[in-house]
Amino acid sequence: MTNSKAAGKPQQTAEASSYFKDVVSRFKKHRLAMISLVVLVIEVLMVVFLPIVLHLDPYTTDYETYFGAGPSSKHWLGTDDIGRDCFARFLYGGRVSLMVGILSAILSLAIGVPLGLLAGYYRGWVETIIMRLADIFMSFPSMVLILVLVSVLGPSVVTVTIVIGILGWPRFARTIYGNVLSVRESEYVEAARAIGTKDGQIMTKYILPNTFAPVLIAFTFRAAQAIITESSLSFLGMGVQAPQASWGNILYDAQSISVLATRPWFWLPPGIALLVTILCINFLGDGLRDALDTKMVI
Amino acid sequence: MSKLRYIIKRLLIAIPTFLGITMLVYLLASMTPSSPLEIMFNDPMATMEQMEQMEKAMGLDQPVYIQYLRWLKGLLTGNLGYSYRTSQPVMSMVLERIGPTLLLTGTAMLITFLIALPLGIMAAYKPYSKWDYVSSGISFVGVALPNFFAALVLIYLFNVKLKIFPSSGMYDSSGTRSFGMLMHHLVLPAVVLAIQYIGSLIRQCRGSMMEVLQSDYVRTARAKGLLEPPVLVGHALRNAWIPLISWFGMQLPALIGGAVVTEQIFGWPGLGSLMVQSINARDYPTIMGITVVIAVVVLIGNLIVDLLYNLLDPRIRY
Repeated sequence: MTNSKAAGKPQQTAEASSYFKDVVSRFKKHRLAMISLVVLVIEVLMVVFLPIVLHLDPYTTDYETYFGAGPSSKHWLGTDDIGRDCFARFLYGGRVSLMVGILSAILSLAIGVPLGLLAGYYRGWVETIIMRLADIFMSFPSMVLILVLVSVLGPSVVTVTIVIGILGWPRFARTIYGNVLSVRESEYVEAARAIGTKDGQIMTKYILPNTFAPVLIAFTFRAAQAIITESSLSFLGMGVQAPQASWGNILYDAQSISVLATRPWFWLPPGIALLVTILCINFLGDGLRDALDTKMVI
Repeated sequence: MSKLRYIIKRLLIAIPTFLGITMLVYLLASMTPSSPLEIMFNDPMATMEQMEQMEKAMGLDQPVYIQYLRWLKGLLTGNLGYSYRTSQPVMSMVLERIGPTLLLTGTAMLITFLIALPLGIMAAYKPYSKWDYVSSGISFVGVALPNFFAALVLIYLFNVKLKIFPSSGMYDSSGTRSFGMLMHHLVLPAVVLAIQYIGSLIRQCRGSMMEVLQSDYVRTARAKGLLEPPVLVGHALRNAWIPLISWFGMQLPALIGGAVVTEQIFGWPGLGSLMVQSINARDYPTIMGITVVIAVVVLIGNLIVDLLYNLLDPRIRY
């Protein structure tokens, strides 16, 4: 028993690494995805380190420059209505937007994956309850539920992340459910069951690893969606609250027609940053889908 | 007959969905930290006794599930209660707002299909051509563009700079109301709402047309010498429609969600802007009313999609 395991091990890692190599080489061929990855990495580095390197302060009013000033060498994107540096707010806003997107997608994954796994593995009434619930959530505009929840809990970075995260579970549950349905019928799962492996072990050791690819792809698309949702909420004034910045709530100030008309340098950067980020995440997802080469259900 | 039975079955399945959603929203609304009485009476002179009397009269001293059942009973008789904000009956407030929302979302969908179908068909007809890259580009940007940012850019270009389109409301403030004026005000919000769906429909349409164009009956039609336009429209599109209809059904909830943001930006007097106002004022009876209406609209929309499915593909039997 131990012998065969030891003999099987090196071969397995060789296979695994060649699969991984295949994936990487396929991904590298996807030019848009590669460019997107580079752009996203640069973007993350910028919003994380640039404020530290340049000693930027997004909260303090600069009384030496007039309020709502245009771009200058001191304030690259000018200042806002109360004299805060717009470039600093742009970078700090990026931190918040990206963080909310990623954390809430992780939360959705953490809820959706176990539920989808249980539904697909046990079928029967577990499946009925979980998947009907997913249907209900997906048949109703989540924006409406999110608005109600945020208004009850009080808008802030934390509540927005939690609310978007919780309401994002059905997509993950459906993705993984569809995959589990096919994997659970496979011979190695049957074999595992035949030698008396416990359900929990079959699910975590035999089925879960096989759903890695579709879940990873679903994760990228969910993160993009979450970033859009957060910025929409903040844009409506129901998301991240001032003085904290997010790309959405910077744009909230541009709803005033005078800001919109006279200060494009104020509202264009966060909007374009949002567009570029979502675009890159979507390309990344497409690249991953091609590279991982899965017959996936999304 | 079987179709009628199918509709009835679908409606019966919809009941638990409907109850689930209203229960959830009611429960959430009841968890709000400030009591409705504080919201309604901003009167510092009100005594505790008066407040308690009012609380009893409104039934707010009862447990939540009793309140929910009473609300449900009211719903069956067409009474959704009164707004905390305006003291008007919620039913009439909500009914007033359905029209503008349907007009906006309907126009947006019309624009979506008019723009995305030709682009998607062209892309599928000549894959990896210049056309294909242009429409794929539009599709990627459309999907990635947050609609509030699109709204700001379009308002900046067409209202502030070019002064072609108005940026707010359904009519201008002159008091006169005409159909032309309504259409003029409708253009920007409808285009903004459509952008993201144009992106997604181009993709769907390309995919489903590509598949159909490789089928035997398209080859047969071409082989017998039929011209390309009739092949594309008569043979290919007729069959490619089916996944597009189901795409539409899946987008319905998001379409209404998107309308919330768009209506708010453009001051469009529909359900979405009423929703934002009500949430800011913590006007829960109105929020509940809107929830009900949206649930019903989505339900009817899905039912129509199912019937269209059957109409377009008679092979589908229920």
